[in-house]
Amino acid sequence: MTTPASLTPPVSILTMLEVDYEGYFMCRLATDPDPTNEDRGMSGYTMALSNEDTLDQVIRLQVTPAFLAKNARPPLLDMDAPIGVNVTDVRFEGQPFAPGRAALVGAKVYLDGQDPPMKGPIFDSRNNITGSDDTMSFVVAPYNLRIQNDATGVRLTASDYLDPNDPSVQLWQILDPSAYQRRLTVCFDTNDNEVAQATGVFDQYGYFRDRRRYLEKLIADTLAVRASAPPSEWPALDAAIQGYRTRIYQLEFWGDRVISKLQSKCAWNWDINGPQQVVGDLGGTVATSVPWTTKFWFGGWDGDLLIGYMRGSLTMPFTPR
Amino acid sequence: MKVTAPPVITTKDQLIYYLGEACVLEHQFMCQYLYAAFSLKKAPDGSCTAAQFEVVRRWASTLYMIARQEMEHLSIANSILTAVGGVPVFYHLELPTQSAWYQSAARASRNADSVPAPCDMPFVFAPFDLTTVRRFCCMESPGYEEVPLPDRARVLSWCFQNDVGQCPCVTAGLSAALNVTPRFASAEAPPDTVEPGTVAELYAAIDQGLAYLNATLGHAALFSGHASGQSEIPSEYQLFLFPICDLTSAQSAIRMVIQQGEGLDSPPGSDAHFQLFYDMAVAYEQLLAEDPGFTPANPIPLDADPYAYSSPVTQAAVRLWQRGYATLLFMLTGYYDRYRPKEWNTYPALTAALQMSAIAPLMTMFSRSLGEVVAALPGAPFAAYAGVDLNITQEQLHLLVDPTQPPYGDVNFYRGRMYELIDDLAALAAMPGMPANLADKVTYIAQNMFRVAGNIGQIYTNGIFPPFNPNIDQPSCPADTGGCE
Repeated sequence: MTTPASLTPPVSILTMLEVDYEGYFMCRLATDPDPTNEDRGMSGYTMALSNEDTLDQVIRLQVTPAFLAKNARPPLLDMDAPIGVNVTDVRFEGQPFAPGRAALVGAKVYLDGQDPPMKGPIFDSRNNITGSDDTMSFVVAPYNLRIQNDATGVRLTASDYLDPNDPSVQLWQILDPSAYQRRLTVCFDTNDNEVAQATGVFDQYGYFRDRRRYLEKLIADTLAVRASAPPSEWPALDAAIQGYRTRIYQLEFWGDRVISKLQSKCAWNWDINGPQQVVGDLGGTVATSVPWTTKFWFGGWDGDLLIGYMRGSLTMPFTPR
Repeated sequence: MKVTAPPVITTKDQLIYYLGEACVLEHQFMCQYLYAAFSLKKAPDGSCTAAQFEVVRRWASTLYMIARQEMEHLSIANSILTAVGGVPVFYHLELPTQSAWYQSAARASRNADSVPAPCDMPFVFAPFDLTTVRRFCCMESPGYEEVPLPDRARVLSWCFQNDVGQCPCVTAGLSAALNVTPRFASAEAPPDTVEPGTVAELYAAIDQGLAYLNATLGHAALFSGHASGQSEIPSEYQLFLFPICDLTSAQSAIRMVIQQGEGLDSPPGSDAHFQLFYDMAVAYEQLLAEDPGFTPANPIPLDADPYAYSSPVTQAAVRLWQRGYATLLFMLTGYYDRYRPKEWNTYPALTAALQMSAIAPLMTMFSRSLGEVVAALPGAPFAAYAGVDLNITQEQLHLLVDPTQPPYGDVNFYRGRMYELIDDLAALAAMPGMPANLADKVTYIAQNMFRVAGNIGQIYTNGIFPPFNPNIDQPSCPADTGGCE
């Protein structure tokens, strides 16, 4: 006699380890109506200033000191906005989990890989061709998450494929967008309270009024320096002054388009379909054969400094020791 | 509206004729602005310092914005045209030309005797330089009496003939264009109708004609076409497109066009095209005074024969660009002629497919992208760099003037042209002599056009994918209470 299916003991409920992370990212993003591969920025609200790297669209969750030195515009380095997305908490069944915290809090979060011809992961829209600027519906492509704590040697990696049957397929090659709907944004908000609390910016209009005043002061200060500087230094000072003027121009020319992004967010949420791996000890066993869930938002975008805020979590089936 | 014109538009045929004139003029403005914009430098060099380049960048931003607004005006004129039962006009006559609306003789009678005769204002494809910017300023200028007082001295010296009847500020080097026979944009003008003059007067006549016909024919007889109009275009791109279906919406649209162009009926200090070009020219003069070697743009040809470039790569790129431009015009013509709000996004969703493919993707990711590639290719024997071909062939014109022709209802007409472009883009990228950095850009364009062609088929069959439909808001994210319940 066989046991009826309805009387089969239930499979034990999976228990979950959640890894929370957040922080500021940088993205040298071209913006509509510039083409998405525009590397200088001529008609959108973002641009590469003469002394900076070109626009490359890459989402950078971590930056090197050299990159920051070249691309951090004033007053970024004087703000409480350190660039870097890092692990902030580790929870098991919703409660702080000490072994996991010891292993991962402070770990750096990375997005790896490239979306050719871009040299890293990007918000893939191709000007309303593969995504939608109008509805803020994009794919982060590719999605290769890496969380790594150099101090403890713990490393989590997870990759998701647009087409699991052919991991090399790029977004522009998939003609039916429903095939990658799971990777599109699930929601979009403006005037978002969580973003304001994360960045500490509650008056987005005041924030950019202050920025314009700050840039005006930089112009005045630089003009004063120029007045007593030798002529050999004038070209660099003149370039700096005109760069400040361009930044003011962009803020005034685009107005609310720039301002409103500061308290906006786009969120993503899906189960990962590719390889998942754990290196190191988290205080138990992570199931790598069951899809992990990734959930995150990008927002708080300051289109003048080309920085934004990311907050997310990685949820993994977990059995503590 | 301060400009007045006699209410000489008294029939619907006349109204349709002059709306067609407006379409052609707006299209020609846009073409000239884009041609010049493509020539602007994209990085500092020996004749453009890093500081000067920042000024050039701001000019580029402004010039592309004005070009976008000319597209908006072209869209508005076509929306009114289709609303009153006309067919869309997405063609223009060959440049160089001397438009009758910008002929000195036609405009001279508008001014007081103390004001010199206006300059002939030829329409030409010219690179960005001081003459070009001044000419753009004059093209967008309101009548002399409406020019702000502080600007009048310069406007007088740029846009009006000097003591010996010449116009060196705006026509230097344009003698060939000035010899072209003046003509109306379309066929012969109807007798006893609007006298050529500024574009503001053309719009004033259309505005009054609409009011007159609405009163005499009635709303239903006047607006007997279809309520053409695009889905909302975000105002954040300095565009504002809305459906036009009655006198109020049509007159509102005309008012916006005049405010954006000449700055008429605008508050003091408004950033109309006229004022923006004026300020650009003044700044340009100042930069040249400080540094006579300052050169903001790359040398591209003035009205070159687009098929006489000596480089095979350039020839191929210019021809390809022109075919893409014509494809865009076919798509816009098909869209405006066949758009019906109720059927817009249901199978067969042809107009939704055309709108979603033409307006942003093709304009930005083909025309702009490949235009800048062309402007970086060798331009021998005419100039150091090449320019795009914004003219329309006779064969293309034949198709554009009559949107009732069968291809416009066939989705495969558009897709077929797209796939031809994709093949040609791939071939262009692989041509010997194509610089590697530009080949990469062409390959990127080919990828995008592959997907656009696919999108046309997808949308035609299934409608717009819901998360991409601009008429459907994204779901809001769950509220974060910040710990407060």
